[in-house]
Amino acid sequence: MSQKSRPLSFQFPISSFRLRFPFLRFILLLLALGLFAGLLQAAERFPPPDFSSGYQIPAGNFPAGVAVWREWGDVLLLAGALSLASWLAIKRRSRALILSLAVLSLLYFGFYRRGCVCVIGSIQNVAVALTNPGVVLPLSLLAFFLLPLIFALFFGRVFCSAVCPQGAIQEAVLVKPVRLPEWLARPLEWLPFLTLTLGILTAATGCGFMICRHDPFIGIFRLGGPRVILSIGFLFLVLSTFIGRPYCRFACPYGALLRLVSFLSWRPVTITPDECIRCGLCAEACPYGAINTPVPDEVARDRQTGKGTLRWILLAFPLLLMGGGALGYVSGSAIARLHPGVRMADYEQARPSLVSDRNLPERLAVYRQAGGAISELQRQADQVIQRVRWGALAAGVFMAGVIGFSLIGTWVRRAQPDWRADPARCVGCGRCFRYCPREFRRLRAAGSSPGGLTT
Amino acid sequence: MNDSRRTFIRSLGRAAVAVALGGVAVALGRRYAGRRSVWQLDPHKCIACGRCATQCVMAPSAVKCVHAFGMCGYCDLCTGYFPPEPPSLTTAAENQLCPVGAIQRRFVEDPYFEYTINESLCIGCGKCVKGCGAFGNGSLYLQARHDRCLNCNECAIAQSCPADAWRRVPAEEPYRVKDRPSQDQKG
Repeated sequence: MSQKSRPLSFQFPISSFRLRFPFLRFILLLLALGLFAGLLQAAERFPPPDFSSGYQIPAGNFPAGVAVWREWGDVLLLAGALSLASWLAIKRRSRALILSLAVLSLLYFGFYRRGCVCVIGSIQNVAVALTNPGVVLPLSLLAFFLLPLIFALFFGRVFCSAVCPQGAIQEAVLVKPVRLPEWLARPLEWLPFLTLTLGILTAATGCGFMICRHDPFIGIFRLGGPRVILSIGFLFLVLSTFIGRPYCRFACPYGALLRLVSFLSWRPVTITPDECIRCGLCAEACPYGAINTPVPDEVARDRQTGKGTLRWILLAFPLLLMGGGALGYVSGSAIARLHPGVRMADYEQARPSLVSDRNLPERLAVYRQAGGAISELQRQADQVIQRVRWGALAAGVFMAGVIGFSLIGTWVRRAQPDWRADPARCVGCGRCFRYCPREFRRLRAAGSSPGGLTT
Repeated sequence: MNDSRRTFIRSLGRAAVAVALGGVAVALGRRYAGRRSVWQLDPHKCIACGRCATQCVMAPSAVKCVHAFGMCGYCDLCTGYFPPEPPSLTTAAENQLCPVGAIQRRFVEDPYFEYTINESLCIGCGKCVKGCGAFGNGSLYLQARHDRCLNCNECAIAQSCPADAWRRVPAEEPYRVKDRPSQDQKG
């Protein structure tokens, strides 16, 4: 009876509204219903009225969801843009056209689609789907993940050059490129592998989509967002005016994947299909340090004598891997705090929190109200922590491997007579085309103006 | 000699990457063919905390109030429309619970009133949902409107939802239409 009468005992001052006769009848009905409160499950407090005036109860209005054709339209656009970018970078070889395509992609995938759907973020969906058999992964999203990698296998990082909106916005603001010294650039290039492994680890273990949450440009694409993300975005934009593509080179997790694949690419972007005259002008033009200096035969042979040193590095390699794994395992419990369930258990046990979360008291209240047991919460949290720890161990080993191979790369130098674009670093911006004297002449002979934008 | 060996190793590497990508495509593609999903909130779990209005990447939020007319009691004293102890039971602004005046109150027949949500005004704050759920039938509820929802990879509202009410639902049925009272309103 108590609950039934609650809407009335809540009581607005009775004088504030006139009780009408049907209303009184209604109260009596409610009181009668209240007697059967135990029997009647889920009865309405106020049964829908029988209208005598012929009033028709309106139907609900539910706008349709995203149309299928639009999702596949995006996939087609992506495939088309990738094909066009490959053609522009390898056959047409025009910096101005590459930049124009990049701006179009920025307008569509960035500002119009507001950064969602996004190739970079698709890593997480694939990671979740691969580790959780029950998760639904739309085929269009799978296509978004795979297409740029497939193109990279053939033509290098053409996705970065003119299709990725994050890349395009940085490319567009680079006005005064400053080249970073190798000793700084190389360690910074390990960071994308860190964001990649952490992104996969956190997504696969249910800790959240950290890649999406920390995308610096999403706030700019959406013209609003959390203040922290917006400020990081503007910081990256300011950096991008003089450091070439800081996000692509030193943070982007998809960039790390593309590096690995492009390294093996079949026909990557070249400075010129002509013969190299070894003037080195192309390297001056490249803001990304992606053009490798020639290594004369003698130097290469000299390096060969350094095989002893290499042997020591190889001996130290297992130690490096073990160290990475141990570091990962130790930091695993801190990473697990990104999981809301783990934070709830922490809060319940009054453990100091590493990640602030204002929603915790309310989350716990709702959890308790729904009849959830705290012991179960703790058990699940422990499970998550264990999973994250082992995942972090694997991530640590992988990172150590990346760093190890990168260091070995500084020691091993094969003879290479020409200036050559490093397919792992080259984003196919096309700046070097008109700086190369041979290419300049070739393009002019072919009837296309090699001039155009200067940056 | 050295060069051809390198070319061979590179081709092997390419083949390995191609096989890996194909493996991912087949493994995931076969399992999930044709199934698409969108974000939606379960009105029976929703506690109308108000975060839907503030956490969504859209401004105003993609979440709006929906009225299940079939569940509505058409009360004169609607606790979704009026705040507790309203000065009078009229449509004057000071009597309205909705901060943006998005609920239209229309007389149907004595003593019943119809309440309609003006969706272009609604900001999805859930104040009416809370009022209706606490003292009424719970016929007002929140839903992500798919003409506005961007279907983000990770829904920003879902992240901060204290009631864990957000799920991905099949795109063919993108709404959780409410047609019965929630658990805590039963009996």
